[in-house]
Amino acid sequence: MRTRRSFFLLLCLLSASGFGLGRFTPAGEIQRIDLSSYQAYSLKDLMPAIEAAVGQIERAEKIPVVLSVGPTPPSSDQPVPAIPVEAPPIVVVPETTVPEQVEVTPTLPTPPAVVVEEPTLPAETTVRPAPRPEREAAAPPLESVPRPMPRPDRITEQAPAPEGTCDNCAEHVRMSSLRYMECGSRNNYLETELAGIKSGNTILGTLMRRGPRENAAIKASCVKAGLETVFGANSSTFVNCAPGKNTPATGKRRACVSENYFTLTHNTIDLVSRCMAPYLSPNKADQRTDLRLLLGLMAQESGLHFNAGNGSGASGMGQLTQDAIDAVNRLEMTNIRTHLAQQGGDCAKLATDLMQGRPPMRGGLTYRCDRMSLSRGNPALNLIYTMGNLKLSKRQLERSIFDDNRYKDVFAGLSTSERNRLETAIVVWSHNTGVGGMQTPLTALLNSSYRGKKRITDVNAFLAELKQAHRDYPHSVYRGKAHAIREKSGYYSAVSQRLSDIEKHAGGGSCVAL
Amino acid sequence: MRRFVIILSLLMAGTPAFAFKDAKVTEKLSSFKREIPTFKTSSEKLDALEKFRDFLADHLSQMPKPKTKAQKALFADLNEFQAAVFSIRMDKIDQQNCRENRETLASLRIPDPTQEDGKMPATPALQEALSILLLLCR
Repeated sequence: MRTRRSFFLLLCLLSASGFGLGRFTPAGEIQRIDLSSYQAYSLKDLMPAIEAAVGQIERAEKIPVVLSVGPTPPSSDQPVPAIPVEAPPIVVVPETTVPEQVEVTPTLPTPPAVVVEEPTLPAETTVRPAPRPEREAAAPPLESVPRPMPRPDRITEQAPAPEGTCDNCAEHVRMSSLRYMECGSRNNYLETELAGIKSGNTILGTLMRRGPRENAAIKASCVKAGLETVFGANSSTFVNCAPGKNTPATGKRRACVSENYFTLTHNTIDLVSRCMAPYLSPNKADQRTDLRLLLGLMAQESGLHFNAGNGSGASGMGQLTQDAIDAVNRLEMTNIRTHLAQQGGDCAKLATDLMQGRPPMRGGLTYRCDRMSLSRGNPALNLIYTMGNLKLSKRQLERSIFDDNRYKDVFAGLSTSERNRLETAIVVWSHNTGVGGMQTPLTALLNSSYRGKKRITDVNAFLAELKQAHRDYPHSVYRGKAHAIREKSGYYSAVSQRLSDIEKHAGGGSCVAL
Repeated sequence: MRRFVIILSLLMAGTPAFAFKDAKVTEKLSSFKREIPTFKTSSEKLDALEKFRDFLADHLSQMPKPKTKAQKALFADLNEFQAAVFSIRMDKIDQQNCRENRETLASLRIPDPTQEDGKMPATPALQEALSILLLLCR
């Protein structure tokens, strides 16, 4: 209680000095946000609530906020500093007008939709409020989302405030409080090129001009969390490909997650996911599973940064290798082009804008920039190839194991969706091991532990057994190499953990809203 | 080119199968490879392939569960071979199917970005599967 009282005094001081917590407009309207319901014991605990309040102020400029702690006093007793004499009477906004916006954020399992940057680059990482998202004209309106009070110049963009409950309120709140980094001299190396792409005529420019999307198949808060949490701001495992160059400059710091950078990354992941989902699986439920695991894979590989690179040459969002690129060019390219063309709209534009080269992405290390250069159509091109490679792996595992009559009964105990989850998990795993590196332990597990009429009944238990099989029966290339075996056997667990961390960081729930 | 493939196939057919330290598999593989050139039609070849696959699956699922390091290594080798042989899929033997299957088997090599073509060399198990494919496509 004493802590709360001290903090209230601090808030009053901050508010009075105009430092961050609120603005008192001449209109003098007041809205009360009661902080007494928050289980706050320190400033850190209260940050989510404060962020929510600030976000609300940003959205609804005319509603200043008084933060109070403890039981709500009657409105007439409310101390209101410095209200002009002519000001209208104090209005206490009833709780029902904006309840979710105020209350949802603090109840989330983890605090920030807003990730405060590491303090290692203080001069370069000051956080500024995000401009409100410009919603795509063609995008369907959010259903039943409590809307912030619109700014006058944006009224026409807002759909009428719907009634009832919403499925995606938490994401709406998180979107409203997105913050971007301001770039400094060491991490702004992509900004000029990004600005050029934004003003260009390609599909990537179109995606950037649309601004952050709220109704995305892949939640923006998850992409933000991935971009900011997997690699630190000072990490230097990044590269930069100047336009038209084939060889990247290495040792770059993580690029600043500016609005342009974030918008391009998120909208590209969203569009490619939507376009390629039917290519991966025919039905929606399976597509959700596929896209979720795919996001985990990309987060694990690159932290969703399209210019991530490593010493071995694997590069881009999906850390594509020459082997994977060559295989997609040989075996999947026709299927991908046909699929995207059939999808029409922006998906067809992906094909016409980015997939025209012969091949669109070249495999050799000499052409490493093909995998990540913005001027070559990345990150979209890298994502399409990553998905193409997964599809190829799935086909190979289906023909050699999943669809073989001899193992049909082993999988017969699983529902269709569970079977798809298992297959996708194994395919994602093989992104790291290679198909050959997956086939050996998988076949060995089936031949040793699933003999006779034994069936798989629990996907997670089977995946745990497969992890052990990677240790007991590794592919001959990995035999005796303890580090490789550890890495290969633990890859799927690492992806799952990464995904779980991102979802927790982004406020809980699945990252896929397809 | 065609002549070269025929000569190579004949040479392969005469080569003893890679020793898997499992007498049954080694013997069965040798006899299967000797048998393939004697079949006159595609369907006969594919039936023989299917029977060989049945043998492999049965044999591996009936082996005692490996306990020692050496037993596990042998079991892994045999499963690697089985997986490669099971990756050969053809409804008929023609040029296109043969090319696609060759590429599929090649793609089973373990990725290694430091190698010139981004892949490790084919392991003995994979080479055996490739030699079977070569004989089938002769």
